[in-house]
Amino acid sequence: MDFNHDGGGVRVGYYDPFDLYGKFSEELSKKLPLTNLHWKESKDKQLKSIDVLRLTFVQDIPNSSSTSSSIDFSDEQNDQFYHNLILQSQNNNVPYVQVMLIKCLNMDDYKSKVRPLIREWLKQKITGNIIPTGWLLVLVADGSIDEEPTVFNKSTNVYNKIKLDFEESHCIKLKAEYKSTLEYNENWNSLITSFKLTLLDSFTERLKLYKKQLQSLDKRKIINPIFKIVLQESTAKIFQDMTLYTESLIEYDKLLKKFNKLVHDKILEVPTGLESPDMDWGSFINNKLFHANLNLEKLLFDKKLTKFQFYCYNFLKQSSLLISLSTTASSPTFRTLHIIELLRRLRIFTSNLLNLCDNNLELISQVSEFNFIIIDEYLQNEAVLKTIQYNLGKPEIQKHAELLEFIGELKLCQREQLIKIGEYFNYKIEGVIADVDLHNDNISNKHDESSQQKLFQVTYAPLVEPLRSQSNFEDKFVELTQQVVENFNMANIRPRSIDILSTEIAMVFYNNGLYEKASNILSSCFQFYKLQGWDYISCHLLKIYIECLEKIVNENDHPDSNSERDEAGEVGKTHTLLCSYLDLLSTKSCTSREISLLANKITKLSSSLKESDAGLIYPLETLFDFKINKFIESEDVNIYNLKVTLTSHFKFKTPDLKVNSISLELINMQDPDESIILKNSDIQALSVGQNSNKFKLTTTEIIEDDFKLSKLVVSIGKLNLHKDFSKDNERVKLFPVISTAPSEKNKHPKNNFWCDLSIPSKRYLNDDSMLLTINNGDSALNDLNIQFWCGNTSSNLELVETKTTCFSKTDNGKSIDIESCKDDDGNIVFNIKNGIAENEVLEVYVPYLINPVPGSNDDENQYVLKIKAKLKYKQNGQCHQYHFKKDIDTSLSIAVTVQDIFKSCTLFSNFSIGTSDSKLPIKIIDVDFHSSSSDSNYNISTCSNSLLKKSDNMIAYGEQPAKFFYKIEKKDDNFDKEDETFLLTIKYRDLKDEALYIIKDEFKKMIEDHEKDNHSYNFRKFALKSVTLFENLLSIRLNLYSIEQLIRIDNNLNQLVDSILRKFFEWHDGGAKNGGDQEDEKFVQEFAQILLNFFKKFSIKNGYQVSILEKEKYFESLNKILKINVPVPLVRIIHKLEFKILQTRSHYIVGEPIQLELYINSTTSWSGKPPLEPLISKDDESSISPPIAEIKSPNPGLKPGASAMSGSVSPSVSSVPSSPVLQQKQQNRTVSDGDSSDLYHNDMSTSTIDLNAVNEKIDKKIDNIKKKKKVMFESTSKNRKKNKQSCLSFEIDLQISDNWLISGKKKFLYKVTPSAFSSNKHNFELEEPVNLILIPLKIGKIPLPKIDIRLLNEDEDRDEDEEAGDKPEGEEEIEHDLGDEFTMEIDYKNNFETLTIVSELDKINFEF
Amino acid sequence: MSSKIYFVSLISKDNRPLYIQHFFPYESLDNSIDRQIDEETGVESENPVDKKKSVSEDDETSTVQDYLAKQEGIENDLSLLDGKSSSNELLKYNFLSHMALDIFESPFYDSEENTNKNLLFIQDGIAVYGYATSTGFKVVLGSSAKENISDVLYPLFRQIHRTYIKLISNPFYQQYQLEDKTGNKNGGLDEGGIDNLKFSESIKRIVTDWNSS
Repeated sequence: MDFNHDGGGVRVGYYDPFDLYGKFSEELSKKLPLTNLHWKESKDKQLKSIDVLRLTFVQDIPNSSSTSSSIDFSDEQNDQFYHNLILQSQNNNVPYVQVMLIKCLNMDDYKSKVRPLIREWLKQKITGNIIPTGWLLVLVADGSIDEEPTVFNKSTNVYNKIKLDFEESHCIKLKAEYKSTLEYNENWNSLITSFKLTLLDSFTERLKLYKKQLQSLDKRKIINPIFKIVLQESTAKIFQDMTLYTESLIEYDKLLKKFNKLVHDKILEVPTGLESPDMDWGSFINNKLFHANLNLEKLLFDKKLTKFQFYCYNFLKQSSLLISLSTTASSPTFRTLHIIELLRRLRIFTSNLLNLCDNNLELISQVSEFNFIIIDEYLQNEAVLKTIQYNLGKPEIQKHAELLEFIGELKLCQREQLIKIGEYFNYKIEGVIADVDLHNDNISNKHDESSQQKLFQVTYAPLVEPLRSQSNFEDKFVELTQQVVENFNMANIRPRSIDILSTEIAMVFYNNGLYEKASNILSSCFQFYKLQGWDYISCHLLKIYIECLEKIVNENDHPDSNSERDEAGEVGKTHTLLCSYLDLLSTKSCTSREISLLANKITKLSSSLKESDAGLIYPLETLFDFKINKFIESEDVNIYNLKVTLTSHFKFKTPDLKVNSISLELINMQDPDESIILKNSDIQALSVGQNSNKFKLTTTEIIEDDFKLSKLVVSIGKLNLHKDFSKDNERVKLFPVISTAPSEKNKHPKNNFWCDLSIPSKRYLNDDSMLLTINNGDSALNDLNIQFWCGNTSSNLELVETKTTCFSKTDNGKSIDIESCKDDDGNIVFNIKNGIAENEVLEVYVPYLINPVPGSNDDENQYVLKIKAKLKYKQNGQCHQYHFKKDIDTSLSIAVTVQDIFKSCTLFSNFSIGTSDSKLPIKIIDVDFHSSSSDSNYNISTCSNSLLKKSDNMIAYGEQPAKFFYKIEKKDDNFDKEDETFLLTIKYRDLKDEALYIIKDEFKKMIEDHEKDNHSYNFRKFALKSVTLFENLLSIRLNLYSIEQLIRIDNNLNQLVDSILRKFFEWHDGGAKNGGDQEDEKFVQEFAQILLNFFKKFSIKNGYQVSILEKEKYFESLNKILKINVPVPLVRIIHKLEFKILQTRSHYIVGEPIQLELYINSTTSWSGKPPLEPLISKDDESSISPPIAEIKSPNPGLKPGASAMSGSVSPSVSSVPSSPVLQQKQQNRTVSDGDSSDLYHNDMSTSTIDLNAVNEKIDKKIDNIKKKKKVMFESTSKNRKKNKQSCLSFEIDLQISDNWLISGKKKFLYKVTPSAFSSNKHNFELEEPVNLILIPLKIGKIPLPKIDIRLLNEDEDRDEDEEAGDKPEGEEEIEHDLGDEFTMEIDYKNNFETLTIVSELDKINFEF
Repeated sequence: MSSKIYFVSLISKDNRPLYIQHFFPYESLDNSIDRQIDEETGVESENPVDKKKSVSEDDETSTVQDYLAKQEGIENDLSLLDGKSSSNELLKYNFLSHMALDIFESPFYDSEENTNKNLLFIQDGIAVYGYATSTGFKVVLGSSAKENISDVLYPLFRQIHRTYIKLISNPFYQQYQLEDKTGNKNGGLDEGGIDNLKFSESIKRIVTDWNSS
């Protein structure tokens, strides 16, 4: 097609009656084209520049036969006026400027010849036209008339005369010859300027006329519509002539709009032109100049114009303008912009043409072909191609993407045309967006037409081949689609369109049976749309994808299919298909029919997977909502269950999926390696329809701990619907349920197997053991294995397996055999082989030792053992497990101290029994102190028990311990029981336990009363758990209880109830609070009120008066017994010192001497040694050896610490005889709370048994002993040297005081030798008493002088000056000289005895 | 107005479809196979708009299996693709609405400039018009490409927009929407489609009035 402007320039008419044009044009052509014109339509309009304006000169000779004279100018409203106006403008014959070239010889010549010619010319060509025309008179002057006018004769100048006759502005004079170039240029420039001005005036005037007339026409209703169109087009043409293409384009748009409006309003009736038999498509397509040469006015007036022609004409005009704009654009961007606009208009143009077709398939096909061709034509246009190529090379250009987008759009349009032509030939691509135009209902009978002869034949060569067959058609479709995608891709734009087009290509593959190719494209499409929320599209594509996969899988299953197929790939496809079914099901937009189909297909496919195939995992939550009841329940004996509800997203009745199993895995929050799987392996139906599916998942293992949900798996064949909870951290508290819930199977609750771990109520100090109480439920079991672990970080638990015992509580305490062995990890496993009968209760006492871990955390409470027990048993051949953990507080609430006092040969032990926690008073029920041996060497007597029996309310408060005094006498001095110990047995009760017992008892009564009215298992479940929860929360006024038997609690009741419920929900998972059903919430509220009402009974305001008749019996179960082995206190020697006054009087006079005798008796009967083996060499040797021997030869299975501990506190454990020295040390350790350094500085005979600290202290001491071991060997050798002496020497020293003058031996040696012992072998005394004379220096009751006794060794003998130190009389002294082992007691008979001294006047003065 | 509106799509700011409704000419021909099955099985339709139509007159107790058994004799079609119904049309409108997003997101699209030039593109005889608010909410309309009605569509867009604003201004609606039927909190209006009978009726009325004018 010729897109160039046909005119070639602005028409200028010339009239050359004097044959001047030749030379004139020769000169003028040098000055053309006109440049730099500036035009303003009116004052208020923008100034526009015309860079270049070409002129075309045409000879226009006035014709005397012109019709101009007949035109009526006066009535512009006349149709004839418009008709004439159009006629004049019709052929573009009216030049914008008329030029008349004249020459005159002289004035006469002008007047006679030239002037009439000018006037006639003006009349015919200028004033006679409706259309305004500019004009110029160009006088070409030769030398004869080239005279300057004079002042006196102005008229003599011809040029002046012309100017006078006509308007000066229209007259120009040219010279034949110029004197200078300057003159020449000046003259010609003046001419060009006049040309420009005249031209621009002409444009302005014409536009003014047309616009005025168009406005006038718009106001007139009854007028020939052709006028509007023609005038509008003329306006556009003026702009086009002015090279103002943009303005022209706008006018053409107005023209199109006007045309459409006139046609729409049916003012202008124009046929489409497509159905006409005269329609020559070939001319449209092949005759490229046809459209350019179309004469719109003529066709209009001849009434031959068709819509098709008009659209083509208009578009071609516009396209030529746009191409002109593009070629004249100042920059590549503007050039591209115009081409883009051209392509955009082309797209609309093709659409407009199609709209002309009126649903006639044949016409549609013809127009489509035309559109196809015209798009090709334009895309191959030189200007377009140049722009495309330029842009392709420079993607950084801003409009690059837009250009490519529109090229893609046109390709898309071509594809659309192809589909429409294809429809005519019954070629179709199903399932694509460009499927049948659903709204063109009138496109009917196309199938009928297919049987008829085709009237339309494709002639465009590139379309002929694609329309030969469906296959070719599809190939062309794909090719065009790919081109579109390519363009959009290059433009990096329209991603969604690219996706849709890609799916269309996939659809073609699918229709052609290329399922693999189609599935490859579609595999991610539906996910893409789903993620963007376009579920409907996603769902549809998924269905197609499924169809593809089904076809592929079916092909593979076919026996004729290639046997060498890839099995892995096949399984992969099957998995993908199964996944796709589930994906489709999860879209929630399936119909009931689809759900039914899918359910069947899923069941069938999942069951068809081979055993060897890997399972398929699919997220459960996409198909089902699920609710896991996190409160563990038990409906069968020793079988625990959680309920899971799966609810489908759908609301249809559908077939069920057959579920093979459902399992729920729980993982211990503390120990990720520990897990429990609850499972239901019965094949059940899982409805994907509207019903909720309830499943009960069971386990035979119960582990008491905090668990979190790990995964829920619903297995359907090899398909696993899987829910991973790893990110959710949803907690489940597992704990044993004591009784089963009523169910259809078991209407009455049954008891489950459950255990408890505690410290036995009867315990021996430092002989620790745990009590495992096993309560068997309503089912016999056997082969019970028990294992223990300790969770303490600061200490290791060591079980003393040999002493573990088991008794049947229900069978009169029958002993049951326990075997122990070690498992692979070295842990001790206790095994009870015997079967355990229904409801049998066993008590297993498990002795243990605690070994501290070096460098462990000291902050940990060492008295709390974190014990975990794992019990395995078999019930009906099925393995069950029961794990529980418990923190056992091994501390004692009781504290015992003992004070030993020796008087002569009698020991007085004063036991002080109090509470270890001042806030928790205890009630002492009974105390017994006796020898552990039946053939005891001691007599023990007391009066304390009588007091205890009299009072039934012996309560030890924090600072008020109870005292129990015992007198211990030796039966004789023959010492034949070295290891005899005393056993202190204390029976006591914690007052808190009593109070809690009463509260719990009341609570249980309340539960029972409530259950009578409401048979609610739920209530019982809450209530029983609450009991264990509130016992640590209550703050009971125990002192008040102990005094007034009134129980009051200090707690704020609302806060207390809140705390109980909060703790409960920690167990329960908060199900009732969060996401629980309303029934649960209501129940919780009711239960809170019940709790509140219950605790009100114990509030500060009310208080609960305890009225129990037989208290002891009532609280018997709370009684605790503590047994302490108390070793006999050992002293190497006891000295008895006594002054005897020879002359006793009631009073003595100051200054008068008093004679006294000092008697010293000593005994070794409390030394723990046989007589005649008193004190020396062998003892010293043995005094060191026992600990060494103990360390070196510990009992098998016992550690040094254990043996030392046992040796000191529980001799029965240690088989090593304790030496007196060691015994003393051990006694000190046992009864003293202090460090080793304190042992010898503090009052030896007053010791405190801090029962809780004993173990720790002993361990420390053992460590010290170990550390000292080497030193002790050394000291032993020294001692041996020292103890070569045959006797012990004591230094007796009478203290000098201000009260007395002492005459006699103040300081003397007192030697104890074996020969000095008396016949009983343990006692000896001074052979002669020491005589002393005392002279009182003061009056009053003066105490007798103090005496110090010090043990001397050889060194000490030489060192006389050593200070004995001031020690009060009557207090024991401990000698350090012979090392740590030597102990002695001094019994001052005259202690605190005074003598009354009076003045010389023998008077007694009393001062007040 | 000769050009009828074929479909209306409301699209959220994050380009998720909120509401797609088609009007012409298949609106009245809403007797798809699914509906047939629903009626025969006595199961209520998922679409609340269709609920009143889905009540079956007889054979409420028959099941899907029965239905399938009946069908089996006639056709052994186990394909999930059931093609030539209004669903195909709805799919096409979904595609067109989705494609329209490309134009909205195009750097060459100027919503202000296009206030009265709403034609986004023409595809397969359907002119797709668009209207985007400053908040990113979009309305897409489809009409016949035979007539460019972009100049007169603005009031219609405004009406639809106003109806949408009315809907989201309703605090009760938002409450309902935040927690959908499955109990999942989907976090806002833009996450899920509009499933509101009153809104649907309003849109239908607006478009029907337009089509009949």
